[in-house]
Amino acid sequence: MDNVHKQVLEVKNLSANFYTSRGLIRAADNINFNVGQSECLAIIGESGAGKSVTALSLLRLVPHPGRIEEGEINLEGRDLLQLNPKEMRRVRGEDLALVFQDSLSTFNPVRTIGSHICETITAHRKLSSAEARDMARCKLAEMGLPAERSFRSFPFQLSGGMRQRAALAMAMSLHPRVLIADEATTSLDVTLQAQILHYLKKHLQECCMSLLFITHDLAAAAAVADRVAVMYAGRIVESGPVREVFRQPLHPYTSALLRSHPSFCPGRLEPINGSPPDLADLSPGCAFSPRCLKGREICRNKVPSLQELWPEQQAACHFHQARKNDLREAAVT
Amino acid sequence: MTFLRGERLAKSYIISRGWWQKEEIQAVHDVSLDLDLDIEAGKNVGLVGESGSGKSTLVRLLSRLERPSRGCLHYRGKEISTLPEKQLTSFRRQVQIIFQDAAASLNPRHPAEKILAEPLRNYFPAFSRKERRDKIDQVLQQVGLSPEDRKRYPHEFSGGQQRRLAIARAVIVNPFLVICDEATSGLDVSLQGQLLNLFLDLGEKFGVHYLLVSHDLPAVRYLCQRVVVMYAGRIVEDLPANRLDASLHPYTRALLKSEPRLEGSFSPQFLPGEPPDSSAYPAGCPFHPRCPERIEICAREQPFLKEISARHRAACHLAGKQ
Repeated sequence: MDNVHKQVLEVKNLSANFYTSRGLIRAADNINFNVGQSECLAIIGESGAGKSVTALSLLRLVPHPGRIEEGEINLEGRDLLQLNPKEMRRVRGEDLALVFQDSLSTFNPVRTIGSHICETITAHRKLSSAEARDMARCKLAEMGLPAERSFRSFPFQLSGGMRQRAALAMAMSLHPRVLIADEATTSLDVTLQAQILHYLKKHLQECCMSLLFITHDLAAAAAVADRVAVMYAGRIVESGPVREVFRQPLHPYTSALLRSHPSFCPGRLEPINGSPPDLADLSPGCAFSPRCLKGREICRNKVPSLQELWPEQQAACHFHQARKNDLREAAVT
Repeated sequence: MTFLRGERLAKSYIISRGWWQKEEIQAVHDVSLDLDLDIEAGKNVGLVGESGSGKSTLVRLLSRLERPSRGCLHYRGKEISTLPEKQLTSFRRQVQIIFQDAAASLNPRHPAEKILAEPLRNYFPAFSRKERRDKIDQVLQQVGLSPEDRKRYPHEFSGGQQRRLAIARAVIVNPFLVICDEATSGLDVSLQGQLLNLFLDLGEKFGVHYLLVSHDLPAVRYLCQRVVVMYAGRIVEDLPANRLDASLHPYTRALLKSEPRLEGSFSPQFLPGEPPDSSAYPAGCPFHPRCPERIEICAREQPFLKEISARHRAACHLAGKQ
């Protein structure tokens, strides 16, 4: 049993704030998670939940006017927030790589796919250009692409799915320890999505890579992840092994999300009413309380903290104990 | 009477590759489709397929935003594919479209009120100002907005509200069929759920039928009673949604298998290869290069869509043979 993964990435108390004219926005607020070797952690949540800011924080690429306020990002024992810019540049691409949703804007439209990948390789490794080209072709072939043709293609000449795989090939060209896929399969066809998920899973096993899979697509997260963290309004509200979280969600937000999705909800959907809160104007209590069916007085005044309820499963809700009892009764009957 | 019937519809586009070369792209091939929306089994129809499979072109033909290159389109028994725009008024009112990008389909310089009044002015010119106003208020409420939103401009609405406004504009003229082109794709889960329920409610309240064009199978299954699968510009299977698990075409089965799910350990099964280039379809069955079950005949002969059982059609040489 290698259930106990060696921890590769540990994030502790990470907070990133944006200083805007409308006030302080806590886009990522006290985020804690870790990702083990060959493990996939999915971060799910609606748009504006702070998923992408969390991803960018890991690479220290939070755009102005945002700033990482505090916390620790330990990548194999090294705190990334203590590195100087030059060292950080080496980390990006080599240890931590990022794939975006929009593969068309990932690439420079006037350069070939091959030249992008070669650039990444030669920037980090002392290789001759011939060696770099061979390596790039090899990476493209690993992603199931016709190596020679895609190497010479310009981004617009490839279909969306091929381009996304080329972006993956580029991100994985240096065998990063952790790959961050920010909505990398969103807006792709199901068949292409299955393709990408297949290659991602394959590389997790073969290259001992870890994956941080950021998505709002619950079904994709369920399919690829080992563990899942649910974000709402900049905070993690629930985290745990993927099966447990999807089968018996502890946080009302998670269960409401599942009831909004036709794959997980038999019968009529019960979507969450309203829309995600404005991060500049959060209520003092639990951010979900205005939309929560169980919202009580305490929810509006006090922020619940993340507590471990089952082994490895945590939730931030004032009523988790009641929920746990409900689940236990349901299990008995 | 069949509401809308396409007979051997085909559409090709000429595109230029360089300044001397012209190429013909066949977006839709010989598609015959009956939309008998009256019967319970085909109240809402889902049109699924990969991008580039011709779904959107077919929708543009069915809604007569474009004239077909070949074939005819019958609306309540009347051939309309070549009718001039002036004689299409009733058809235009009965068939409404909601596009994927709701924000782009709303005029940014018009307040909600004006956006909703325009279709009313076009199709119900007899309405008085008061009647129009009442109707707008009523529809705004029905889609989950409030009458106070009348004066607001599209940019003042959130993404979800913009979608609702686009839906309001479609249903305000009491259409029979609303075509939703990827109307719920790429949205947040809760918003998508809200919209799907809104579609269902409006369907019940006003007798609106839907043609849901989507690559999101769970949404199609939720809303539709009938599913039409397209591949390479052709319909490859047409079956009741509750029989999806008994689908006969290998492509439909591949689509279902690539759907991620929680049960069991998801072994991502996917189709090898890419959808074919629409300027050069392979000979024989267009799916045969990617098909796991191909036999020798598939590379030679094009299979035609044939009736397998009641309301189930498939275009595969193997269908119905086992």
